[in-house]
Amino acid sequence: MLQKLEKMDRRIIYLVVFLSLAIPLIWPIGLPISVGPETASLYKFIDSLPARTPVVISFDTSPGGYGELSSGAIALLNHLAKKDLRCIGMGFFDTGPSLMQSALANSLYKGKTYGTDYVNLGYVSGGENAISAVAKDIIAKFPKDFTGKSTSGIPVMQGITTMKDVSLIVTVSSGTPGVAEWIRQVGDPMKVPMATVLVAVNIPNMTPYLNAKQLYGMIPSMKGAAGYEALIGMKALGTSGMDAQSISHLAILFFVILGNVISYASRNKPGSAKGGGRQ
Amino acid sequence: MILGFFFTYKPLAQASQTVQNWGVLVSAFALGMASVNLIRVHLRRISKGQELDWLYSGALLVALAGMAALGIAKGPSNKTYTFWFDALFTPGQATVYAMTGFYIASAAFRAFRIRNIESAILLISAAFVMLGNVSVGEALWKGFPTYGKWLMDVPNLAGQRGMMIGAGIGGIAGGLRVLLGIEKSYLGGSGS
Repeated sequence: MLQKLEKMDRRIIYLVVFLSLAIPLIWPIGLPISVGPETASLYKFIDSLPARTPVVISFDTSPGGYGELSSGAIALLNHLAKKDLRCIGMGFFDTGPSLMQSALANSLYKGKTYGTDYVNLGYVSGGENAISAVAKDIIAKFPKDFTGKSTSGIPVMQGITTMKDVSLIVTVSSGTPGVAEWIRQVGDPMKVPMATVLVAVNIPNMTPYLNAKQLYGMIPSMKGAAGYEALIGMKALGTSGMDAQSISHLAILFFVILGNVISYASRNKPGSAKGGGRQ
Repeated sequence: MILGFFFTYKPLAQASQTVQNWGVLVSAFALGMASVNLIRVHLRRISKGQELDWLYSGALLVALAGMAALGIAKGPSNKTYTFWFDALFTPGQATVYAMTGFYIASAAFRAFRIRNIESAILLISAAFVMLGNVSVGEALWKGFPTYGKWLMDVPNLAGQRGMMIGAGIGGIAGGLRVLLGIEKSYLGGSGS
């Protein structure tokens, strides 16, 4: 029995993990959602901004990370739209602006006016260097937006020349360039408040910036997205995704415990080469 | 560039910005160079015609040419371009990324074993952080998020800060070596 379990076909594990993800997504359990302090502080900051305040959202992610970030990014866009804030989008990953188009189409900005309430400026290559160059003169680096229209004189960019003219920068980040590069080149030197929507794997690396107040707030992965959805009163994929993540974490922990029980039992089995058993 | 970062003298700032603009242009050209290299590698594979390699390389080149032509001719916000990006590229890459979750579950079952005190601490910490980050953890016991957050804010933060400060000092030292001409490996030399 132990040997059978030890040599369990990996496809059984895949099936259990798949079911633990799929079932709660189809039939949400409705587990209670708690809001982390870093998510609440971002919500409060945005809520305190007056209408028409410009906010920069940079989509610094690829489709691989976007699956995890989409619910948080859409919840954030919904909050900005509800507060009637100007949304200035851009990306320093080549795929970022296309993902932003998709996020905007799924948010409340869909009902607003492009060019007046929001804009997608597109992509500039060059990573950290490009972030720094854009920060010093936004229009010069984005003479045309993502749709090919001229950006000079569009109402959403009124009064904005450099990043110093915006009230908040949020990077939807899953890699490099991302949070650290934005803080180094813009957040700290230009003293612009920064926040991020972040993949779970990067949370440990970015916690020092949060504790040092270099980041005003954070929407960490799906947990942050679920919390933000609760704060703005618009439950969506983040909330149901949290149920799926809960059950899949339990499934993985179950397999880890099972693996250790099997390992311990086989070590102490009489005649085992590993342990020899207790007499 | 360094002086431009620290001083607000206008000619210095302008010179720094000009160099920065060159950097943006060079990186844009680098993207083009990468495409040329990619095409050469895959054309070679097609010409060799080994097993199914020629098929995969052909598919890659057709996709590359098709998307580039669409993007250049009609822009990236064009409906057809958006359709292929949203319907093929996005789910494809997300699927590859999502599959790691399944591999991690299988690997954790086979390899995440308590063999000594260090691995026991690692496993218990991982369990607290995992359960502390999901709703079910809090529903099971209020302590999971509390202790999970402590693990992130204290031991993790201390380790991360140490690494960041170390990397920062290393970066300054590396920069000084380049500026003083001690480090020359970037010119194809053997260094100091």
